[in-house]
Amino acid sequence: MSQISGVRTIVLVVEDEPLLRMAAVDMVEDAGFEALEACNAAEAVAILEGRTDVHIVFTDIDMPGDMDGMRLAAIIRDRWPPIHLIVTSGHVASRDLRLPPDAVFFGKPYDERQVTKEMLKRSLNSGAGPTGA
Amino acid sequence: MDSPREAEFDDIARLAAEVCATPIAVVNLVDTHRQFFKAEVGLGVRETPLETSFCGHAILSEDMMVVNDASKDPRFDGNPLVHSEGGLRFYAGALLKAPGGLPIGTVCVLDTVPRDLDAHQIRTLKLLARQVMTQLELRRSIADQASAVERLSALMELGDRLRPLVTYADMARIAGEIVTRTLRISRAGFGRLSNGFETITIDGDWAIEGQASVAGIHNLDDYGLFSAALNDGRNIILNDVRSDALTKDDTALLEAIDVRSMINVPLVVHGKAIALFFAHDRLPRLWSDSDIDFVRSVADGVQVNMDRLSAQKEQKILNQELSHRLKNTLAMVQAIATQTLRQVTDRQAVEAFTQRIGALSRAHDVLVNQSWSEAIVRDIVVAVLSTFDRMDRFDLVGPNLRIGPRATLSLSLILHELATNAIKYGALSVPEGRVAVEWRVERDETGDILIFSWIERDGPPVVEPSGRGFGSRLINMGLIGTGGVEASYRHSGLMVLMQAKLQQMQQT
Repeated sequence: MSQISGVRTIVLVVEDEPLLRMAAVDMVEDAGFEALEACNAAEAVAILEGRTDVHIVFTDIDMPGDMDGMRLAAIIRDRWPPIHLIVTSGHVASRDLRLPPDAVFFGKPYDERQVTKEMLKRSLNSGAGPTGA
Repeated sequence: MDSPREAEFDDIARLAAEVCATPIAVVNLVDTHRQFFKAEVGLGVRETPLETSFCGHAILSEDMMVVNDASKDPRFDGNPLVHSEGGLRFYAGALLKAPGGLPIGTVCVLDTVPRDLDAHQIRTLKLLARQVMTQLELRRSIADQASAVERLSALMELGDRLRPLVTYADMARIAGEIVTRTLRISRAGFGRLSNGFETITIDGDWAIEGQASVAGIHNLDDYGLFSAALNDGRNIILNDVRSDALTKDDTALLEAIDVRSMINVPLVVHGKAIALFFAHDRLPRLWSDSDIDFVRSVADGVQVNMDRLSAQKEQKILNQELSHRLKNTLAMVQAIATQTLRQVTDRQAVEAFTQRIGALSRAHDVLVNQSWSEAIVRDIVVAVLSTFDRMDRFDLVGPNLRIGPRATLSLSLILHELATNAIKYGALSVPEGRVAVEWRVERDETGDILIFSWIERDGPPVVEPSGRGFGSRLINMGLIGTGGVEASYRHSGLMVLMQAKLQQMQQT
């Protein structure tokens, strides 16, 4: 498991489609991280307000409700600047999206290996590499 | 009215002088304040004020006026033409009548001595007057014809030039240029109207040199009382803004932009004016029916192209929405596969599957940019290969070439397999290996052939795979599913040559 002094990297997965959320959570856990899940942006904000140990947010953009993933990304950048953002969408190109400059974008369907690689780069023990690898 | 001398009218004047045996003969046209000599014999001037002229009197008569001795006629008391040294005494003029009966001038003869005309001379003078009218009408009909031809060709030019345009501003400039040139006016263009006709947003226009553009947002009420006409979808035709009821109360703003006369044609969609095509001139102008028809036709042409543009925009949104759904569906397929195959120990097979789904999805990305009708070969190659994170190891060489959607899908899947293999076993499995990806078109007796090659070098020696996996079967099916593939497992690396008829590659 990926850890330094017993601290695991925590990734919050935000995805409204249950099947895709399940697959994303598996991907995160297979990479050796701890996964939290939220099925919309509001739930994600509530989780972030309740704890301070979330390190990466992996969010879909197109979600129902008042707040989509782009808005969520903006809020996170504003309220929780240290959190890393990885964003995904079925919409064609990332250049049409207005994302925080340091957010990483993957088109759907994404290549799990590449997303995992980005998460590892941004994990607490990047440089050391996950212990499972 | 003002026009150069023309031989036909000179001949008529000479004939009138000869038949009537007078030293002076004139063909003249009269308007409200002057007369203009279309042709003259023995006079030497081309224009006189109407107050002192004989024709000013003749024009009030039925069809002929004869003054035998003007010095004894009270109508010419104090007229310097009569009472000066060597002044005129005799005048006989036959009226020129326009088709509606309106007198527009005379054919007349004059002399400095009193005289009279016989019946033959009078008949001839009237006949010559009819001849002048025939000549004038002939000229006008030729001029009308020429202008009709010019306008028709202007409309054809409009269609050709608007078709490729993709912005309202460009359309307004081109249509404005054509109208300005054809009607010989100072400015034309169009603007979009707000819902209640409060404002007009002029995206673009065309103005002759020295005239400013009026592009921008304007309050319509500042310029005149246009909303009633726009509500009814009527044309607004102003021959002179200073005298027209819609504008005369305050013409300052119109004149500030050099508008004295204008045609405004609304573009109506579902019974509502959404835009306005305008033609401006800096001088008052009596717009003819054919001027108005022409502007209407140009406005119609613009409207057709605006509709085309909005249809294209809607189609693009629809395509993007469909693409979004398809990609979500592919993501679901991928998720189902990874969940279903969680217990499968051969992780390579699972990965190969999800990555092939990914390649399919990337082919789709490239196609959706061109409404799923075609894709540029280089874009396909880059889209597929860039996911392998080794773009610096590929050398791409090939012309700008478009292929159809079926060939795009095949090529994407094949490239994905080739790259996957190269990373696992081929040139890209070692740091110094490279892959040249080249495509070109060659012509043989059957037509154009697309030749696509994948050449690996500086990798480990390769051997032909023994099994017949999905990957190698996919590659062997070729660019259009019918073969045409030649793979050589050389010591220097794998080389795959694929060819297919370009025409088949470009089929949709």
